[in-house]
Amino acid sequence: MLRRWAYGLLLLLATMLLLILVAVGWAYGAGVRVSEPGWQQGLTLGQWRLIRDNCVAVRGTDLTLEDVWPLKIKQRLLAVYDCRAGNAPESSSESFPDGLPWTPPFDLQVAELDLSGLIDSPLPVMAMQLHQQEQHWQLQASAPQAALQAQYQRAQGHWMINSEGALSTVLPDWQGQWQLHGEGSWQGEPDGKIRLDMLSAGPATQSQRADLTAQAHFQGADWQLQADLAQPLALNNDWQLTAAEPLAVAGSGVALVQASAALQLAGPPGKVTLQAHSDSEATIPAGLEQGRGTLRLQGDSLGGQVDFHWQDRVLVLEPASLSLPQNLTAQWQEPLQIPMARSGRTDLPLRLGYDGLNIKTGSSQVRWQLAAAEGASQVDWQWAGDLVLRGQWQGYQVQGEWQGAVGSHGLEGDPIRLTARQGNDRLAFLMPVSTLQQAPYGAEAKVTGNMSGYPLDGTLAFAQSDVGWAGTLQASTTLPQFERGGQVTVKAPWSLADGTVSMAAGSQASISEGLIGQALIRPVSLRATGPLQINGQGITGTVAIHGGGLLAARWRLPPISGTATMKGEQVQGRLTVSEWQSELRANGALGKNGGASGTLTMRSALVPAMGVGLDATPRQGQLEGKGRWQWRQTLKASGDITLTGADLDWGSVTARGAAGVIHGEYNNGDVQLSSTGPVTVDTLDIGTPITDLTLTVNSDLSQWQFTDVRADLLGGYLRSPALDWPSARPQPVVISRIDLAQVAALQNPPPVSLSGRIGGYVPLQLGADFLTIEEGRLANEEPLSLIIPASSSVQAMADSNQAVKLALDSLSSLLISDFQARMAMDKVGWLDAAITIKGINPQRKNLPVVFNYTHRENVLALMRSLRIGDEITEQLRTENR
Amino acid sequence: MKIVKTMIATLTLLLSMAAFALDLDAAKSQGLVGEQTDGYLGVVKATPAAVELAAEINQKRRDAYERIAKQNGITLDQVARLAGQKAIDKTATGQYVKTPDGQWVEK
Repeated sequence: MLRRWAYGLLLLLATMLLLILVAVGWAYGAGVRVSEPGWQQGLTLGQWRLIRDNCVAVRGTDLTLEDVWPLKIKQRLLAVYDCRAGNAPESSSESFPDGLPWTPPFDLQVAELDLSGLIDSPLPVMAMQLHQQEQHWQLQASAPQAALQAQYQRAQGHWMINSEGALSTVLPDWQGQWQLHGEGSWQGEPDGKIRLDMLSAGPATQSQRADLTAQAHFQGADWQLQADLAQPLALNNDWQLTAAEPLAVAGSGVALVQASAALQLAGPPGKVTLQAHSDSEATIPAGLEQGRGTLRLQGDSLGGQVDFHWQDRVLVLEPASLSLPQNLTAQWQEPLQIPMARSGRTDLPLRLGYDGLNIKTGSSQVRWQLAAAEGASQVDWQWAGDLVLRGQWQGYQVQGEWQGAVGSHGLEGDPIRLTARQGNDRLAFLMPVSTLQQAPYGAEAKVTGNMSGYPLDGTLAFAQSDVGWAGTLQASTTLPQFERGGQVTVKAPWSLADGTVSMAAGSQASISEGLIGQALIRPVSLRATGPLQINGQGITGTVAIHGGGLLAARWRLPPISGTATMKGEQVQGRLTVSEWQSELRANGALGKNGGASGTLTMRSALVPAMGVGLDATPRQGQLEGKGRWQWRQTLKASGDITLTGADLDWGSVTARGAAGVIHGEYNNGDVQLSSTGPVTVDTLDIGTPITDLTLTVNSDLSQWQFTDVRADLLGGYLRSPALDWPSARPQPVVISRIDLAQVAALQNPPPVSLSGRIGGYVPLQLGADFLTIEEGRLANEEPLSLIIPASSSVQAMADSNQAVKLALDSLSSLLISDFQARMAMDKVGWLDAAITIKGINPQRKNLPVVFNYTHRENVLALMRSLRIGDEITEQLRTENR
Repeated sequence: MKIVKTMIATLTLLLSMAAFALDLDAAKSQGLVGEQTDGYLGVVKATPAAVELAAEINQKRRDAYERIAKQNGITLDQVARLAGQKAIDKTATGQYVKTPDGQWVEK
């Protein structure tokens, strides 16, 4: 008995083992692969996959077989993928199953169902329960803000589906709700009806909402769809969709049999109206679909009409001429025949226009093929042919040709060639397209030619990046202002994303050393200290400026450095010349008419190095200025310059403590200067100290006018109402109350002892490079006295000549009642002086004395005769040694 | 050792000065620079080397003119114009001088 029971048990175990082996074998043969098997209140599988044609169709994680009969499976993650052949077209002739197959009862629970690999739609991950008992299938699926229930009774073939949720779960950019209800039969050929309601639907960016209703009926491959909008539907970018009548479409499989639509899109550029309808079935042979319609464009930026008809699955677009936004136009002069099929080809003879540019196709053909790849339907398309570009753009005569193909697989063909001409400007562009065949796309365009007199040679390399496009701009040119050198080189890594070009930090433009006229321009560089953003708002970023300075035979500008910070149409700049302790700050903004304006301030010390090219040497002092500038085809500027504590030397002539405020106006090369209030100089030493000098100044740099000139001089003063330099005629300078004692003190020790005051006037003509005195007159303003003290030099003169001795004796002590002096000097330096002295000598019993003295001398020749000639000669000799 | 270094430095300085002088004579002979009435060298045919040479010479002349002007109680401009006349007078035949109306002519 025991033995029979044991045999029975053994047989049962063997049978079960055999069944398990058969099941495992069947599953393996069906493409099921498992891993990480285990047991935890039932069989568990850590991972399993269903493989079809070397493609993972289904992948599961953490499966638990909770019961065998009825089969109950729990699955934590189930992901489904599309394993149809990559480019194989869907066949409309695929047979549809007659219903769901018979299965044993089961219950399948999936915590996370991921269909993103199967459907090209942003479906959320769902929880799902599929239950079947007595061939009654029930499906429940849910996700946050979405739910779906479906039933199928295999015996009756009845199916039903209900679903609702938030639109954003399937259309992330939309708001509103959707409700879906459908029911029908599926026992053999399926049929049924489906109604979809979209309630308060609209893009998230728009506040306007609309209700959309769509109802569809189908039986086998034949279907009808009717959709209607209750209110205008707001779309993005201020577009609105309205339906004048419900959209009604009918078809068989992918073929359109009947259609009727009257839709209107209205937006900022205008309106687009579509009207289409099938021809009456009575007028056409059975089985052939045909219809006609019109697409009409109206508005500020839209114009034109396209009449079309379709017949036997061919859509024909009649010749049309369309105006599109942004000055685009499209035109075709022959009917375009487009197969209404998943794949096909058609000739596309087009003329396109943009502003003054026209593109005309030569041979031109488009082919396409709808393919399923990686879970999504994709259109594989390609245009092939040749293009000719002609026209005017931005004043340039543009011409170009290209032959090749462009499509979903990129570009291929000849290099793109373009030429642009305007006057003497001529630019040639060449861009190979061999690197544009597949992503990441990239190419290097070359440009050569002349622009605005500048020879240009550059390359623009670009390539697709993660965020857009990127590349490097390299260009070189030679500035025509330079007679030697002056080569400009630009190297700028760039990227393009969201309509903004970004030049990377370190982007640099430099100008090499060169000559402009007789000025040697040291190298100049501009370098971006951070990214430079360039978009419709302008340029944003900071550029560091460094210039090596300028050098000419007589003057020198030391190195300059600074920054320019741009923010859209605003710019702020700062330049410093450290050797001169000078700083200039300027800011500006672009105006509406293409001009610019702004303010500027400057501050500088006066240092000797500034005088290299001048006849004066600044010793110390401070300059400050502020003003405004404006650029509108010409430059205008105005402002005030304040000079304080300035000391200047013209050789032995020195000015100390100069101060004043000068207002300046600059207008396209013309300069006007005028002092605001008096310009003052504490001391002007021309060999004779002039103190407390005040005057006002007006000048256009070629003509200087000094007015209201006042100064103290040797205990007296000088006055001049106006002094022009250069002047065509003598201008009076009045001097008065000159203390002769201070005149005598100019020489140390004084050769004579003088007292009393004199005055008069000295008419001066200030030439460009000469000085004349015409009929200058001085006279005593009170009694004068003269004493010639005894000295060895006087005794020597007296001993030399009896007449001189007699004169010296008479003049040795003199009370002067009348002093008259006349003087004149011509342009070449001849000075003529005549002096008459009348008085008495008290030491000679009031001996009356009349002394006449004339003198003629060339003061320039005198200067040349001095020892400085030898010093100059030595200087010139030693520099050549 | 220190004496040797000093001698080498002095010799180098003298040689460089000699080379500089040759440069000025050569520049005048080649017609790159010439003398002007304002006492300074002018550039006749602009090259970077000619501009640099003229700037350096003129800087030294200006320093000397200023010193002479201060010592003699006249202006820098007066000294410079006297020097200009002397420089033109001693310019060798065939070298360039600038006329008062601004033209470069071979002397």
